[in-house]
Amino acid sequence: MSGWLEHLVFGILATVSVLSSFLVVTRKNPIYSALFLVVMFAMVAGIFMLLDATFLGFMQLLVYAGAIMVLYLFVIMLINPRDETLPDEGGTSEKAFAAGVSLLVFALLTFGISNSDLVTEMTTPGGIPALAEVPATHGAIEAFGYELFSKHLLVFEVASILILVGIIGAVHIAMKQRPASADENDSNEERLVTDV
Amino acid sequence: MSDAGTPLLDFFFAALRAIVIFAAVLQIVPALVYFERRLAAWIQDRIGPNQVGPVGLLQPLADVIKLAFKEDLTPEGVDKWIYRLGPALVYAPAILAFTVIPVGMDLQVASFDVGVIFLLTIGGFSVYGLAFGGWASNNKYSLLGGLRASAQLISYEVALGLSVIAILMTAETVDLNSIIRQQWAPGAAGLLEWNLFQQPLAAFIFLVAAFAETNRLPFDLPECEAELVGGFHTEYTGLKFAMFFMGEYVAMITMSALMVTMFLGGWSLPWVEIPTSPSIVDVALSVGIFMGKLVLLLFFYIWVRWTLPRFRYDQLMNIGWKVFIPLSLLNLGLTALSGVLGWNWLIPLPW
Repeated sequence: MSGWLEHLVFGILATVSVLSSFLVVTRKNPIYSALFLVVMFAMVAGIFMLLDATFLGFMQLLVYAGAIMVLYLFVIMLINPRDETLPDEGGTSEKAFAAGVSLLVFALLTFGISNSDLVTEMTTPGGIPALAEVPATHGAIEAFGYELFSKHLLVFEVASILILVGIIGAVHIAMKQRPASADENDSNEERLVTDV
Repeated sequence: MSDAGTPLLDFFFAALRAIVIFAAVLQIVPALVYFERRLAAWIQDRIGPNQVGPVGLLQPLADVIKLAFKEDLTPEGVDKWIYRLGPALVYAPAILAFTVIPVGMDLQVASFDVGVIFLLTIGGFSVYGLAFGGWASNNKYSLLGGLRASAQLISYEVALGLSVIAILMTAETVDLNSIIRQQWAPGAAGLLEWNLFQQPLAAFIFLVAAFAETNRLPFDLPECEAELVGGFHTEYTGLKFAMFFMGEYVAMITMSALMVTMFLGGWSLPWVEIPTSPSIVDVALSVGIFMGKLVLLLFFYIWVRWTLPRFRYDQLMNIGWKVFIPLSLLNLGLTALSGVLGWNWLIPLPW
């Protein structure tokens, strides 16, 4: 892709993602928040794809937008929030405090990132390899798989154990709440689902 | 097919492919509706639509005209933005997912290096349309339909994805054209190279999950008329309803096309050699083969719809979580094991 087009696409993706993440926190109705969060995920996935990390981008969409947010949406819809039934949100002082904390985090991140060695290295001339030196398979599934299962195997395994612990925890919590004479459903989530 | 020299010409050919293939898919929908109504009548020993035009062939046109000129009602109390967004979010992913399907020899709208993952990702987005549409309608039946849709689609997506992964493991690629080429072998024995016979369990799981993903009977619980009036689309009229309806049919075509590609050898036939430098006639023939398989599978969809009764919702969830997900995990484990041992666990059959 030629330079200016890439910049244009990045500009659109970045603007929309910042805008929609702003809307996620300012919308009163959680359904709208969920909708804008999905938009934000899609934009971030777009940025990944712009960086040639197509697989990562689609995984972001498949896992976050396609699965996790649907479960969130499911819970929000069970509560069924309507504009007229939603309570008024906190006053000006609370909002100002939240904005202050957010700005502080933003400043910290900006400071941290702009002073990191990686960024310094990349912004000095000749710091990043020329485009020709980047292998053609960069970001492809094969390259991704090799990296994940060789260089980052330990992190990968730790993450899987974390998820396993999460699953066991969810099943355990669901089992505890079930009375001894309950129906044959296995988990709380499933009972919720079958009641619909 | 895309041997164009300049980027502009490439762009032109891509746009041409997109318009022709998407338009063709859209044209299948009315034909499919007519086909379905006639077949339903035949299965139920009725006559079916036969009055409009010769043998009722103009019936779909009459239906479309009726839908287009209906009053577009927006009930009171609906959430206007999300109410309008719903139908579009069902329809757009269904047609976008078709992008990567090779309808003929190396002929698809666009080919990504993520291939089938693109299809699963984008296809999964239609759940938002159903859920948002159901919620925004401000009707408890619609809300229940939307809830059922989101729970059902999320549940069966797991089984669907796992059955696809089993195929990707044996194929060692996500490129659908390569998956088709791997399913080809000369002669009648080549039939056994189809993933339908190589991975029968995955094929079965995929088929059932595809029925659930497209809300087709026996899994059409989100719009089950006996309990929920019309489910998520109760409050929609005119073209908005038509978009839900078209979305469902396009999703059915997309799922069938994926099934043809992954399990039935796609555009190839075992008796026909795949040419290395295909002429335009070869490509046309391969499109014909693909369409033939697609029509057979769509016939199967309709046949099942008018044969099997609807499941209960708890049955649907139980089958999904307790039968299909464990089965697909088992299949995945067996596939991995056979891959590690270099041992093809299905071939030692008598044939």
